[in-house]
Amino acid sequence: MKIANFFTCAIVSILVAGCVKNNMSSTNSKTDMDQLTNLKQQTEQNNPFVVDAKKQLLQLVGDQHFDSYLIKHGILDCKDNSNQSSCVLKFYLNQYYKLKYDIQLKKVIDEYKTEHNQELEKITPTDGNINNYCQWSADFVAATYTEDTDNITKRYQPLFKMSAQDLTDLKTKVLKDNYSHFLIEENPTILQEMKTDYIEKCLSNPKDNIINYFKIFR
Amino acid sequence: MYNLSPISRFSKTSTCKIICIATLSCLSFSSWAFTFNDVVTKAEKLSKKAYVQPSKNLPSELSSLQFADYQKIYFKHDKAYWNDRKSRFKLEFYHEGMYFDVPVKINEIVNNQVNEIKYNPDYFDLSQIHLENLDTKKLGFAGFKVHYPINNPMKTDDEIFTALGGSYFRAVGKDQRYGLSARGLAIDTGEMSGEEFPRFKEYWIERPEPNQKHLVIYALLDSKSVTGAYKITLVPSIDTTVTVEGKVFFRDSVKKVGVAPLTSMFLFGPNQPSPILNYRPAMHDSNGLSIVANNEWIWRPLNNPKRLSFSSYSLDNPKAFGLIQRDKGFDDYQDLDDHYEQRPSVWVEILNNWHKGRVELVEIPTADETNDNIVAFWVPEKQYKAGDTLDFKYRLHYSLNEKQRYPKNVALAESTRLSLGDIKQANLIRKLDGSNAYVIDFVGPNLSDKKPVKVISSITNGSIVSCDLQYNSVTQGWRVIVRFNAEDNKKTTDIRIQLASLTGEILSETWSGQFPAQ
Repeated sequence: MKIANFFTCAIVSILVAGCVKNNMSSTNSKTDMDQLTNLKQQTEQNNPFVVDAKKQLLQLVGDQHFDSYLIKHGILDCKDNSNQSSCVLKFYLNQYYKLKYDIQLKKVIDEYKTEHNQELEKITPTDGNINNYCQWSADFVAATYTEDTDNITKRYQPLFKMSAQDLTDLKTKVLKDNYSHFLIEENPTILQEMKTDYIEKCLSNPKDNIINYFKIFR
Repeated sequence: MYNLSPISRFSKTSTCKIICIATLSCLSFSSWAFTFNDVVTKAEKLSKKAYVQPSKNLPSELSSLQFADYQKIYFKHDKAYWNDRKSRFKLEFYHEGMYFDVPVKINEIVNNQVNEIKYNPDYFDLSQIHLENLDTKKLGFAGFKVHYPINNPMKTDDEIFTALGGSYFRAVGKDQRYGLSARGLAIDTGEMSGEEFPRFKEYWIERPEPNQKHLVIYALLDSKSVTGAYKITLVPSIDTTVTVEGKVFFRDSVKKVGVAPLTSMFLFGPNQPSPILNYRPAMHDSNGLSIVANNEWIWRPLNNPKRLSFSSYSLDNPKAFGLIQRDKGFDDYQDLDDHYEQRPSVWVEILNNWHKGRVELVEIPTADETNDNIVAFWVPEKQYKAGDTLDFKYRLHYSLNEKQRYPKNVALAESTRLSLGDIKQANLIRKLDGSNAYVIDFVGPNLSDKKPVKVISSITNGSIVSCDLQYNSVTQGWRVIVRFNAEDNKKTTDIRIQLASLTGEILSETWSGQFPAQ
């Protein structure tokens, strides 16, 4: 019996202590929020600079966690400052520029990573690779003249890392070449001749004639 | 800002004058543009006049030349037209001589203006035939030839097209040699009344721009019964194409009109071996007539018959036919001079509706290879009379790769061999049985030893003794040996053979052989 009573008392004590702790934390948050509300009211009153700076920061942080963000990053330190408005304005501006810088930095890093990955995917312009890509470029151009849509979309577009815009540009260029279309209609074997000419031209100047050369080769 | 103030009397007058001059220059410029319609107008006008037989103007020294001597009259290459320009094309001319005894008028179209190319004796070297002192000032051109760098971009003197005599012309593609000829029109070919040979009497050739890869030639046709306007578009390449657009005006009724005529030579080949010993297995410019008839592909091996022979294939709105040189290896011919393996097949691709008619094949007996003894053309069902017109458009493909024109699900009769029929006896010795036999090797990607086939056969004027089928592992196709007996040896015996799957699906072209009358 004694032992049982002892345990009961211990459990009750623990529960009570826990409740007290929770209440204290909730009370602290409430106090911070109240203090923040007061601070905002006091500093924004008749001070459009503080209001504008707050709006600017709000755009970056977002509505949902804005107040928590302010508290977390120490805005309440301004409540004891002799010039609260100036302190809050400085806080908003500092936070704004810091965040903006971080975002820009992240963007730059992401871009760099993408470029780096693309660069890693590129291949070395060995004679063999140049030969192959010149041949495929000639085949690709020929397929564009004959409107071989299946081969263009399934084979050549991925092979040459062509965006939809790249492809549209190529098709437009080919479409404008009325004379070649006339020749191909008159004599389909001239397409073979055009391919041979293209390969020859391509091997002597791969950078200008391999389609999307700079996306494919290092 | 536009000037909205009223114009003065002076400026009004000037403006009117300028507009008038501009309009007149536009009108006169458009009247200079030479087109197919101009030739059509000329042909129509000519058809309304009585035919005038062209007069021959050759001195006997030139008219008595043999072919080998005529070939020794050289056109001086440095005198070639467009030689001094950046054009890929060059134009040279033929001298009159031998039976080319009537001059043709040749014009050049430059910036829509027509300039006659005048004959000049200085263009030619006659010293090889010792006629350099002959007075030839009053002669003219017999025809022309076109040069183009077809085999090598650096070699600019490959001859790729020639127009010489009657309405004959020939062309070649890359790595080809001249073989069969085409003509503008055939009239009454093989008829008892005698054949009429229309001739191109005048040509207009458009001067090509630098880097231009096609050449346009207009021609005016004339004969007793017809006149005609032609536009010939030449595109040299691996296969060379010649697109022919024509409009014929009838002066008189014609018994038989032959459209898109092809003229070739067949002396002998494995389907009709040489009657005299010859180290060459074959001598021919073509060895078969191929016809696309709806969904059927017909292959008719050519013969050099003992009597004039006509074969006809009736069609409605035909798509294509051609005289084909199917054997392509040097071994097939063994001729170091004539290289028959390099002579192209010619497909006629029909580009407008030709309605009902027939493809006619005329085979003329010949004792040597200098005679073009094979003619194939389209004969419209309609009978043409005076005042009628006939329009057509077709494209000739000069090709060494004619097999690519056939669908993959059609096996081809790659070879046809004629033999005496035999049977293997119990002692394994083969014994002639009095029959004849054709041995036909069908080849195609749709054939294999794992897919059994059957033979569909028929015969006229005879009976089939046997029709054996054997897989040929060398060609990876099927060999058909058809033994037959002709009923009346004085008539031709026609045999048709097709391969089909066991379920009846047709797997090959129709081999349509003709055993000539004996």
